[in-house]
Amino acid sequence: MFLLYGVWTVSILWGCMTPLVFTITTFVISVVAGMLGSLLGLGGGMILVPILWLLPPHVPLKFASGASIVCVIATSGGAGAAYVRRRMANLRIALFLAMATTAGALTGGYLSGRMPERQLGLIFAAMLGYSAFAMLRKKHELDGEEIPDRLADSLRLHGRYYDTASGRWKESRAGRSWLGKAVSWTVGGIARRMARDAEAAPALTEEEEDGEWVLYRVARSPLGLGLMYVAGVVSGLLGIGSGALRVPAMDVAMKLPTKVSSATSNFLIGITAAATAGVYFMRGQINPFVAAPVAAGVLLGAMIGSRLLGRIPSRHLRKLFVIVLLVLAIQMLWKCTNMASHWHELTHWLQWLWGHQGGRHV
Amino acid sequence: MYDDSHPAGLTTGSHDNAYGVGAAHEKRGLAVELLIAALLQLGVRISLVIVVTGTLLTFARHWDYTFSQASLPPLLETGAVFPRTLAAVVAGIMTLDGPAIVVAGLIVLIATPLIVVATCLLAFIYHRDKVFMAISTVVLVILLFSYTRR
Repeated sequence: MFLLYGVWTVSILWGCMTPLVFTITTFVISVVAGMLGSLLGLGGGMILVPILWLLPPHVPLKFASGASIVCVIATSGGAGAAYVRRRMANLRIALFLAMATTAGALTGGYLSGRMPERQLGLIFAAMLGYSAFAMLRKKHELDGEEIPDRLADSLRLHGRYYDTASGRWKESRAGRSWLGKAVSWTVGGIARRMARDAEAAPALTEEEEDGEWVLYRVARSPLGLGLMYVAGVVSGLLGIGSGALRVPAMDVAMKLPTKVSSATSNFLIGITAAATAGVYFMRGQINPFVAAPVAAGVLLGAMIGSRLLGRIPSRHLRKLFVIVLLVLAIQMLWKCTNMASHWHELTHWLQWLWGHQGGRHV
Repeated sequence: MYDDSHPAGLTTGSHDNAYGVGAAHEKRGLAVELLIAALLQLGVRISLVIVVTGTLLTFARHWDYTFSQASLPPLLETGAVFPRTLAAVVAGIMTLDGPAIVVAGLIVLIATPLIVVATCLLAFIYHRDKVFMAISTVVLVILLFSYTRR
């Protein structure tokens, strides 16, 4: 019912696509993408770029990825602040890996300006397919054995994080007038806020009631560095955060606890995206008419999503998201390989294959 | 009596072979992290406010954008006209040009991680951590290098 209503509204809107209507529809789509992204731990850019490119009015891929990279920085900064404050993100690891991943982003950004849209679309389709596969796969369990890593030892990358059973964190909110809130939301009270956060932050030396400090060691940091370079290249090529590529690097290769790796990779994504965005901006890919509704929408969606987190069962949502990713991957593939023009040959070939198999079985 | 055995801090890190529990002198490391968190949040929020202002201004100054279908394609085509350089952005802000203000907000957003890395560098300089001084300098140089025209 809702779907029908949505299709109806959208078809009417497309009939009269003025700049205002475009801005509003893009904003609404971005809110949904940002919400899904924050609920499932995947950036909104991943689904936004194909949607903007594939649906009318067909935003050029370079503007779609330019808008996406901007919203990646926004969501990473918004969520990253909380992770850094809770000391869930290991900033030493992040800076160490940032060397590789920003270099990768420059490489990717350089390459993306010299590749035709179709090739980029194919890589994007592959990335969408991979993300769908990664979402379906089971979570990796950490095995107990330690792998000695002398580089990580000498850089003192190992760390610990505060694990609360409830996953919640006490954060005080001071009551203020509407205007006071608006001013303090944007610029005011940094020092005050920091003082408040310092109070709310866990006492390192005392035992807390509902949580404990979990210690972890880093393994295979050179391999992590290499994988991060690859993630950076993909981010620079496509204008996404490529979080799906970072998780295996940090969880599996470097053996970080899931909470630490997702927090650290969030911080890292922001730094990578800044490098990519610099390249894109200098190349004139950041179109304000596309980037403004996308950035504002995804940020709002991410805020809503983080409020809803824990209230919505993520299992069904995950399935839905996998389907969305696969549909987008196929659509991208369809557009980029120009399959429509080869449809006749393709059906022929499929029929031949079908007949061949059938014959063998009979 | 600064003892760098607090493992989770930015400017500290753990001992070579032990996990290094029992630190009581993490106050400074903590402050740096809170500053970084505040900077991240601040950058995102300031830029959001500027972007929204610029968008509203754009539509306020171009009434045709609300109802004219013909005005959309030129905004989205590959050769669309919008400020693409810092100089153009500054010039646009002077004339209260909506798109230029939006781009200025986006530049604030893009610069936020840069400022965060610079803050990390300052923290490492303060703590005389030479290796991480070098690492954050490399990151900062790469980030600045992305703004060179190619």
